[in-house]
Amino acid sequence: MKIMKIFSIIILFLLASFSFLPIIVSFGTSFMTLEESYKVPPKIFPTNPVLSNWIRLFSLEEITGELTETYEYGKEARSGRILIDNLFNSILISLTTAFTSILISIPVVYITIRFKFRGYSLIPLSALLIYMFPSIILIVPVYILDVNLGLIDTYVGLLIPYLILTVPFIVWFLRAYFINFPWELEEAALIDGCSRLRALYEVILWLALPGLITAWLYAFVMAWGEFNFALIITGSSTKTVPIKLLQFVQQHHVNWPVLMAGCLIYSFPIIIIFYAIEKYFIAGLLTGSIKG
Amino acid sequence: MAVLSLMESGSSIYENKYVGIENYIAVFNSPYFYNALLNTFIWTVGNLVLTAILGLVGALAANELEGKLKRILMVLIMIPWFMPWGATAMIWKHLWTTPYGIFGWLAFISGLIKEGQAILTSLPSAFLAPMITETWKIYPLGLLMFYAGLRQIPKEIYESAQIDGGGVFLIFRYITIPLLKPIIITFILLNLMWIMGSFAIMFILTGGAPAYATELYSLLIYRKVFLEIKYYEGAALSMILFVILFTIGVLTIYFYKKEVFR
Repeated sequence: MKIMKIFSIIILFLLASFSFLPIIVSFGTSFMTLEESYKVPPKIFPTNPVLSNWIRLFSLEEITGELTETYEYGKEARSGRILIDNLFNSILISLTTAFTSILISIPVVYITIRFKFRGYSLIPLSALLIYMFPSIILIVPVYILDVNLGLIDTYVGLLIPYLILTVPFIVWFLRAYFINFPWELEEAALIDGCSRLRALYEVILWLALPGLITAWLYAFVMAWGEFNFALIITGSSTKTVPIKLLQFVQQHHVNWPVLMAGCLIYSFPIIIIFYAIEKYFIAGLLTGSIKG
Repeated sequence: MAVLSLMESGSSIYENKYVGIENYIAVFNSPYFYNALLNTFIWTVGNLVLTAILGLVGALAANELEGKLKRILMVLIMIPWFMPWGATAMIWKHLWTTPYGIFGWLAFISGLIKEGQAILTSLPSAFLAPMITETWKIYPLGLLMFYAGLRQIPKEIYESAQIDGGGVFLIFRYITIPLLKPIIITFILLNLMWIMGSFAIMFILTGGAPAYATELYSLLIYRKVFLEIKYYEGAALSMILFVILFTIGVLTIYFYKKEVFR
């Protein structure tokens, strides 16, 4: 049994280094100068770390000089700020998605739990079905819808597909959360003379706050990290972070240090939030997939 | 979408007219369609096998251990799953770059890649590299699900099997695998959908190069719609993918009803 233990530690250690190596490398590269990142053999950590790549990402000045080649993509303007506008776009669209999807999901969940009517169980089941299909299937219809409504390159045009992605999962997640909820509290409030709406907003939602916050964070993270829809819908004024970073990749001479710093900024919020809600999220995923 | 796939755009995208199944005929006559289907099949099977093996091995190892060291290692292992797809692809693009990235350089000095070639533009490495990237991204989920499943198996079963003289391999084959079956099937079903529709990694790493040899189904949809401006062929392609996925999902749930809906 002792051999098994040592063997297991070795396996876990190998997997952990496999998982963590790319992060380390990108972290190291983000502190290099451009020349250093193009040296053979490649180094993991820079000899003289520089902070300029990180500072550059947040700088407000419009860049036209050395980075000009970075902006030669599509019909893009040749100058502009590196990432700060896109960070703002990402934050705005993520916040909006999170709030809106919670607002839409709460009534759906409440109704499917508190009122029994013909086909009520189909609503969460169809939500799960939609969640299971990959988003690439929806790209064509969403794109044509947005073109016809004139919503290409607007925040609302991006909000529509994001709601399609988040609402099913949140409905599923909140349903699992609300199903074991002490509903006697609502009945007590109703007997005391509350209206149903007031009971919902003043009693239930306050008690369910942890679940709501988890769902809110999930929606935020999903909208922050989304790539496919952002790629097709955003234009020069609404580009989110990943699409801006994509322009860096599509150069002949990629500025790896700045790109890696950008990728890390793009990933940090998600990693932090996920570790905060990991427990609930995984529980929701497992109950969702097993209980059916 | 089903309606869109039966139409053809007029002079602009705003005017549609009904053309019947013409778009489907165009799709089925195109060699790129079969090329993309084959690529997606190889991609899906390869990724499923890799993620299932890595996840199962990791879960078995994690199940043997207790304590702080395991928790730290698990935190590190879980990171890729939390990474957004775009960042994953871009970071790995740097790693695969020949010879300036770590793995690109390793392949270069070990002679796997010849002088003047790059990992992401020569076969079969242009297919294998994104596959490893995708595996890196999704195997933690498998590990976690399998681990949760292993924790639910009562220890007494193993003890009685050991007393009856079962070896490690026999115990694994006849106790662990059957008891894990529901989790494995759920994992395969969930992952199959995501892997078959996976877009960002292949799009950023190879973009279908060299010469459509690594073009996945999702990349074909993207190319038809946004590069060749054939919206309605793209809609037909999406519809076909939807039917394929729906059939797979329904068949799996039908055959493994007991396991999935315990």
